[in-house]
Amino acid sequence: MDEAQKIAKIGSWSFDVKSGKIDWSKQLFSIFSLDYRGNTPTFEEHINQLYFDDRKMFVSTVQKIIQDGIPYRFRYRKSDFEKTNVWLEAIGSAIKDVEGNVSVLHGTCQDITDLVEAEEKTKMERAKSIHTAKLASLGEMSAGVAHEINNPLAIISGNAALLPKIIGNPEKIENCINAIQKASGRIVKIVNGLRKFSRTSEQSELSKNSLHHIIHEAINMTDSKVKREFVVLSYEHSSEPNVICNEIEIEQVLVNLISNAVDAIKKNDDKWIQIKLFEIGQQVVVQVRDSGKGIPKEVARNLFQPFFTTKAVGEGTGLGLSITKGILDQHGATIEVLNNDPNTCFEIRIKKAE
Amino acid sequence: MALNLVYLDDEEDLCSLFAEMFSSDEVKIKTFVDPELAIQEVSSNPPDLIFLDFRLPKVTGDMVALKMNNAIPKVLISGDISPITEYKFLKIFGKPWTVSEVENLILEFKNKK
Repeated sequence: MDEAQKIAKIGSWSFDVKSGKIDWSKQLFSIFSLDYRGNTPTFEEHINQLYFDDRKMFVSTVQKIIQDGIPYRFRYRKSDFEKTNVWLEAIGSAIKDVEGNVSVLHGTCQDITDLVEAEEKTKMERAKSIHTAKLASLGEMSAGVAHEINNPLAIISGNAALLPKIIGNPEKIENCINAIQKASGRIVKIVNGLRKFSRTSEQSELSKNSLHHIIHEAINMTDSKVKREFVVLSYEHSSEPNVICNEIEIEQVLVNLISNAVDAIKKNDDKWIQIKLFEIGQQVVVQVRDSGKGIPKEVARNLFQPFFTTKAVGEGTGLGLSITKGILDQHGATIEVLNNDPNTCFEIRIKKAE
Repeated sequence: MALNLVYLDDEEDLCSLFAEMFSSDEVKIKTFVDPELAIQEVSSNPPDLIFLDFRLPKVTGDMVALKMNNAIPKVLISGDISPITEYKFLKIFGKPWTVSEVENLILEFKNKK
């Protein structure tokens, strides 16, 4: 048993509530860097071995199991003066006596530091791949963005050059200043949109957000690309529901879908994209439909696989839709291509916030 | 005799700026935000020089140029980093254009006239 616990880095314990007797397995001593031939630590001594911030949660969980007998499973950290995080997972359950009172607690404590580090690494890699895809989207949009900035810039620089010529005409000066302010505002809006979109998803946590607002942001971000290809984009919404999400990631999803739709139809004669937002029960539905004639079944099957692309070499990374799906999976949301639609339609379903 | 120019841009502020900046007794400028109206004007009153914005709401300056009298010299003005055109423009100015580059071109045409 000791060998098995050593291999699994798992220790076990039991606590007799009435007598207060605590038993630890050999491996549990080892996890807490204690000599197993010594005394088993008291509950208070054990608490002092834990990471300070986790102590309160640990104590309240144990108190709850003694009171209610409800099993627990949670993660906490060991206090370590070597400044390395040692992550532990505690599982505990209670045995009740004939009168229904908790008489014995027993459980395990496993060193899961390797698992937590791997999870952290995966989380970081995921954030990195989302950020890379986002930068790829920005790269694709940069030509259009330059155009959107150069126009108001021409208004600003032209009016600045005009000012000395109209110095004696207050009305013209006022018009000039108004034009400069309006154009500056346009640039500020574009730059703010880019700044917000470029943030890493780690900088934005899950929170209650208006999906209507996020759709607007995505439309603003893709506006230059949409206009550049003479695509007519429309947006309808029957409500303005909130959802719990990372707004930067959901905006990325919508930017991907709109951008892909533009790429798919830009060579067609009929070029339009319709975005619809509505609710079905407790679900919020976003449809991004374009004037394309649907996606063949064999293509649809692989659509969300990494590196799958129907674009020409050099035109797409093939990561867009796989990242889109990954983000939505993390949100407990779904995405599918509607087979029964005469056009190409991607439908996202996400739970409405309470 | 005055030099007649046509300026087409979907940005109204740029149209009024261009007219304010370069109009004089010797330079008459008509500005348009609607490509169709610009095409009609060029057809009925051919100017000496035409300035066309590249990205317009439904067409490009390239497409507009193809619908206008080929004999009239045309300048493309574009906010794009490198606009791809089929039409042979006299010059391509980037946005923001500089006053001197436009003034020098107008002066060149005035002297020719």
